[in-house]
Amino acid sequence: MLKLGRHTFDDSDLLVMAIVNRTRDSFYDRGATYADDAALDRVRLVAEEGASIVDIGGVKAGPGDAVDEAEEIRRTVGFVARVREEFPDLVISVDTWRASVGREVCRAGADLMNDAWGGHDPGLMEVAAEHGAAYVCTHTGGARPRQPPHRSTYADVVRSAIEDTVALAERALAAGVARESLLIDPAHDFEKTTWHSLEITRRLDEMVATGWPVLVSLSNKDFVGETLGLPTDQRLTGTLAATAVSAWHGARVYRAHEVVETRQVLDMVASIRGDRPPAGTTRALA
Amino acid sequence: MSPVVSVVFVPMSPLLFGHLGGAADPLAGLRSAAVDAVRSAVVDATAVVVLVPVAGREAPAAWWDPSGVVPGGPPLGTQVGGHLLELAGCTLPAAYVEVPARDVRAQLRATDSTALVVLGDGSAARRDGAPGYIDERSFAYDDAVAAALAAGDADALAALDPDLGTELLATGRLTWPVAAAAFRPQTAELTWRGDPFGLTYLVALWR
Repeated sequence: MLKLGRHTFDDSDLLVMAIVNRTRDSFYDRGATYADDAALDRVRLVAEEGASIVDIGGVKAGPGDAVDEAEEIRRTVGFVARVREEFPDLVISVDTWRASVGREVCRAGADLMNDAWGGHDPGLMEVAAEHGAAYVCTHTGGARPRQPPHRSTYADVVRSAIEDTVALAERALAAGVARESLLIDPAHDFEKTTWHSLEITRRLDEMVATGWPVLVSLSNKDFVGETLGLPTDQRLTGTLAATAVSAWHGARVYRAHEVVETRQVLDMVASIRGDRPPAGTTRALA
Repeated sequence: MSPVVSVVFVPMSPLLFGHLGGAADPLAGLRSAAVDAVRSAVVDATAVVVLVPVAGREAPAAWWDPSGVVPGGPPLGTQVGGHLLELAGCTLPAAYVEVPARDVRAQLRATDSTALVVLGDGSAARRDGAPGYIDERSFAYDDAVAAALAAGDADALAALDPDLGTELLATGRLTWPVAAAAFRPQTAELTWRGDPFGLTYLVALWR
């Protein structure tokens, strides 16, 4: 069982986490949902499209606009409360590294702390524990928040991702986060070359074998763009290929921009694996 | 008399390994300029000393090829320097000196005619998308480095602000002053300068 705040899921469920950026400068949507109403419209759309989780972020992952604590709170807390009220069945995740922001969004109804910078603020997992929220343990290879990767190197990137995320999970467990509320994320592109992200994808089964549920964030990222030689607005097919491989390897949660396409890939792979019955079959069965 | 007969300044990007750029090989031109300069530097030498910056993530003390083709472990600069020497067809005995940490003078035997191969890059903070994002001080810093290399001005190279170099992730901040202290050139030539990824690469030859 996977328990994300107020919500529980079976171990065979593959979940789409839809990205909802409250930023002006994120690499893909470039401020499309910075405004409250546009963001709420996006939540309505992705909920309709089959997202189980929305991941609300107030700070671009890479360098860009300076966003202090107060501004991040302004961008996220009120919005979390609105989503909580309108969508009681949706899991609300917040993409933050700051414990102070985590505390406020948990009070407003967040279910999941997506700590994209791998425990940079050790207080964040304590906030998750305090509020019964779930927590994502992310591999960032020692990078500081918003730091671009540079000459990233690992003797074995998969071993590093496993060791660091499992260590974080054990710390979070000791801090009081429930075992069934912890996810591990190898963090494609974060402090990684494209070669590393490809290897992480190729060997994702090794992360799955740790027994911790795996979250992947693949959507339109540079490793897809560099692999196919395509700009950000043409990376969906590559993203979906990586999604299919990850699903085949057993990842559980998929952070994505395009929900419909991701949902279809996950359903298709689940059926190929034998975990999901086809929607309806009559072919050669009459 | 200095046993150093030439100094060649080369960058240390992992992309100087051609396979790492994928099918595109984006630094092919830079690699070719660096290999040419190394070849010229070693032509009258009997030994090579390679100065390797080691500091922080910009100059990793241990580096593994992310594609798995090259067996890894040594510092990035050591591996790139060795690769450039190999591409230049240099078979002279080569000593690798990590900077800071060891005394370069102890590596220079008076009986050898030594070519110094100096690994190091300029600022890595020249645009959005660069490893150090944007730091406006990059431009003057890199201009000063390029001018010193082109003019063979060892004093100017030695006088660069090391703290600023650290903030700009300029790996050459470590090795350039050591080279400047070891050799005063009679001729100098800057043969390549560019910043295709917001990080300045330079190739220069002092003789």
